[in-house]
Amino acid sequence: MQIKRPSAGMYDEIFDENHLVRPHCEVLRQWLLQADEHLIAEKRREADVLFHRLGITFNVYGEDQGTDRLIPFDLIPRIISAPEWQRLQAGLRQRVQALNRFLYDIYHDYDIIKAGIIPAEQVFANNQYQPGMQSLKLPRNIYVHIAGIDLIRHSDGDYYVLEDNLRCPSGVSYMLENRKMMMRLFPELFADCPVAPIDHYPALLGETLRASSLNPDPTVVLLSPGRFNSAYFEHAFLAQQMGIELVEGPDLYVRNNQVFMKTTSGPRQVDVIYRRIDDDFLDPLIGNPDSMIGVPGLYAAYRTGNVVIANAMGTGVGDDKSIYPYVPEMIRFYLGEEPILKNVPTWQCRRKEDMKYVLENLHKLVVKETQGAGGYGMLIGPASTKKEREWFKNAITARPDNYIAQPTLCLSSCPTFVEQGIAPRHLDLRPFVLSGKKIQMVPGGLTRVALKEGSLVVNSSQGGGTKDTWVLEGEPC
Amino acid sequence: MLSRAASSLFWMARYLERAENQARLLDVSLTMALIDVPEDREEQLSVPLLVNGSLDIFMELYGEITPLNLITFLLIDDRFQGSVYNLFRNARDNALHVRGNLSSDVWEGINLSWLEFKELRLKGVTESSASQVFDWTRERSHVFRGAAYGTMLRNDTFHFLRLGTFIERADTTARVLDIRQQLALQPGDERASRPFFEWTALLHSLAAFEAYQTTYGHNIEPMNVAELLILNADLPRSLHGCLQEIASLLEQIEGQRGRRAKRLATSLFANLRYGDRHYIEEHGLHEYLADFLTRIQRIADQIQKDYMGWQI
Amino acid sequence: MRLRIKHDTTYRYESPISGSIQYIRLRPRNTTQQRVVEWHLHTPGDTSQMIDGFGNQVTVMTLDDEFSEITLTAEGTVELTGKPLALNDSVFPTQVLLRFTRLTEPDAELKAFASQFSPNKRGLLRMMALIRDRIAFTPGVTTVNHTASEAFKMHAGVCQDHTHVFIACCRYIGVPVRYVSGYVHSHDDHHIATHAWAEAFLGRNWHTFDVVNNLNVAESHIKLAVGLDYLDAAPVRGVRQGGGVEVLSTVARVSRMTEAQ
Repeated sequence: MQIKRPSAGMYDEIFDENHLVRPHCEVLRQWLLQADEHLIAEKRREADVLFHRLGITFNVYGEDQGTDRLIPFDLIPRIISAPEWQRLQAGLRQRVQALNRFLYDIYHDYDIIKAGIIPAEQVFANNQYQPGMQSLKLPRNIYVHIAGIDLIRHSDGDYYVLEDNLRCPSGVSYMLENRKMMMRLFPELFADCPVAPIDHYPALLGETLRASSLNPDPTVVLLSPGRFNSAYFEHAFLAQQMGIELVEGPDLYVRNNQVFMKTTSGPRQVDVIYRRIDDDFLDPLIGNPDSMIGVPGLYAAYRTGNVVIANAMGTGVGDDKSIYPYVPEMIRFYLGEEPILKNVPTWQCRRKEDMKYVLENLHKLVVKETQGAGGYGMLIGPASTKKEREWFKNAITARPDNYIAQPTLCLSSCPTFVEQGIAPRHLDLRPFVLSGKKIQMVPGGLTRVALKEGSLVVNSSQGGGTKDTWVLEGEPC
Repeated sequence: MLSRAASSLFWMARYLERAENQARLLDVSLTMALIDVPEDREEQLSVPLLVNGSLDIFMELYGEITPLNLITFLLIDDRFQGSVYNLFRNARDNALHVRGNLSSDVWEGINLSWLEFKELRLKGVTESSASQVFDWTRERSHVFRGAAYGTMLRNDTFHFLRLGTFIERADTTARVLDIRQQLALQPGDERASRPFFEWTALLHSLAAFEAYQTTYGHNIEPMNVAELLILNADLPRSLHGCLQEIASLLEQIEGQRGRRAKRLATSLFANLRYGDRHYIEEHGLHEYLADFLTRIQRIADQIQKDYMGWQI
Repeated sequence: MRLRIKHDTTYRYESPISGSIQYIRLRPRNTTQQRVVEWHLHTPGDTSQMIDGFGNQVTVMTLDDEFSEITLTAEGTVELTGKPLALNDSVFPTQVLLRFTRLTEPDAELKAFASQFSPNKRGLLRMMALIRDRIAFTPGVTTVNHTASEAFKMHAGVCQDHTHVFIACCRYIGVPVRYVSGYVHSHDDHHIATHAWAEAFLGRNWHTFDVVNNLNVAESHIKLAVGLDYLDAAPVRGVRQGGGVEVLSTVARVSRMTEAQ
């Protein structure tokens, strides 16, 4: 099979600069070099059939109800060595701890604002700041029970945090199913290689959710917008794995500031809601009045401390792109530690001198909307047309505070099966960090891969795929 | 368990049972139409439409009762809510609601049925390929039952699912029996072979032909057929068999709710258990079945009201 | 000055409703400008209390039986202190009140209008007078879903629209401002008494801007609730099961009490 090597100046996860397989990826060498095209094609088809049968599909809005699409799955795993993961894990733990401290602070004492580290307006005038969370006491002061931190590896070989997802990060079911699929298709690979297990994630998540309540034996439910949501499979999957009820808004009601679910044996009080619904839709009496997927009265129950919502309301301000540049400062401020994970240098267009630089260098930079998500509203300078740059120039001038810019990072690549053999494709990594009694995570995360040649956009809504992520235990194999 | 989940399980099982029953009925009707005299062919073919009450919709959409029209309408027409295609789709939608309550085997079985039927529909169904579809539908139904029986915990999830199956089955058995006996006992029909045809068709469409022969031998006697399908406790599709299951399932559901549903089911069960053929004969078979259908409907409504409907 | 308030809010339904939950903000708080002497809120349902993120007293009412009509009655006595300025009583930093909401997001026309004013008291007074002149007080042409920009284009609206327009403009020029719902006493006792106005944060104090009355002092205003816009401070927000068409009628009277009372 034809293997296209990474071009110079790119960091590849498997091949080093001399096009040799990195020592910790040795297990893949034989497998890749001797891969038989027909066998691989067959395995890929098998994976497709299995994913379809399991129902690991997502709905695309506006398409016929019967259309269930698969997120493309690539058979070549991404491998992370043990020492590298140790460092990532420490960095993630540190970062999530600081973000939780930050969220507590901005809804209580404002120490970081008083200290002049973050401008008050950046935090408080942000649309994601929830006045309704003001001085609300949460068990263990945890706001973000589940965080998905997007990491990339730059051509300098080091990891950078690209984005913190603190609202309802999704994708963990793909992480789990990808592993199951690999073990099923290529059991022999696992026999030779000490890959750290991840299948205890649902147990850890359940433990985290139970620990979020003061009730020693809480009733936990997963609140989903319903089967038309693109992540419905994941909701059903996680509820089933944790053995909790998968509920929708109309299954719950509030009386006397307590939340109940409607069961066949009568009302049952709910203590913890793992919600996969945005803040604004949770309670139509406080947020969007047209929300049909929320629970009227939920806010009153939350505000009076009778139910835990995970993640808390108002966490969005912590993952906003305009707050992102301050995370390293947060770590220093709250923890008195130096950040382990790097941030991508960021220009904030609301600063005059930053905006000047951005407008002069649009062709080199990546420009992002501060409140955008999912790869929309983004300019990738080097790949942009003159017309696009003109458009962004006007948009930035009109609302400078809506935009930030970052240097164009060269996401690392990994060999990937493509039309013609194997070729390098760019990827990122989203580990899931759980905050309960302690901060925990399973080794690895979801690896997303841009399937188009040269593309840096890994989002599944924009044609990205996924890979299994291996963290090696102990010695490289 | 969650009321909405109970409702989804109940309906999921009903739709799957209905799909199987529909395939069986259609299969038998098509076969009977071939051996019947030409003038009665249309009547034979219309039986499945009479059983599920879709004759008017069918005539509106197709205008003419032909085997191919019937196959198209009852199997793959997405405009008809009761087509096997829509039944599988609805069953799968309901299964998706309760994905978390089902075992992987049950979920994957239902999901696969849906995916395969979609493919099958794209290919189209003809008169000659129809019997393969019938076989396939029956098989998928067996897979579902087998997976449910072999892999699910015997908790309320299982109980509501099985309730759906038996309510639907009792309803179908009573309807098919009623329609067929009306055709068999049509006044003024002198052909001696006709009732025999009808009773045989009836037994086949309820998968009870072998059971009849084992119990009564080769002579087909109307009251024997009625007795088998109504009163025989050992026949899985008899009204007695279904009600025994329904009453027992209701008993096993957790909690204090459902007193009315239990009362209605137990009382109907007792009627069947202690009933006999003379009672049915005295009442008239049609009247007996009409009464049964009203009562089974009431039980279904009451189950939904007691466990799934919610007034805070 | 002591004011006596009686306020009935009645909902009539086409067919009976079978359940409802409502957030009711019909309880005034003690502030530098008002002291609650006594207050009662009568509702037909079960109630519990909460204080929302804006510091408002919210009564949560639930109904489980059938009702063709429900009436909420708020009544009591409030003493106005006569202090012209409110100290900073916000439970959160005032920068929160710089953010736009769906109802207060200005369009190009409103932005152009707003940019002619300076972010100080004089500027805001001039802005208030111009808004009052531009938007004729016209009940019935707007609903609670109309945005500031829409009302500005229509040249018509009620106190809520005047207030939203004022808020949109203030925020656009960088002045933190909040929506206030409450009662107002006018010398003519029979005048409509439920009201909405704005409070802008200038220097270290809240300044009243009652746009409809072109007033800059809260001499006869009783404050019920505050928020970013109407949706946060609405006296009642609820959902119900069934009911069909709803007819709402409100009767509120604010009268001045003599010393003897």
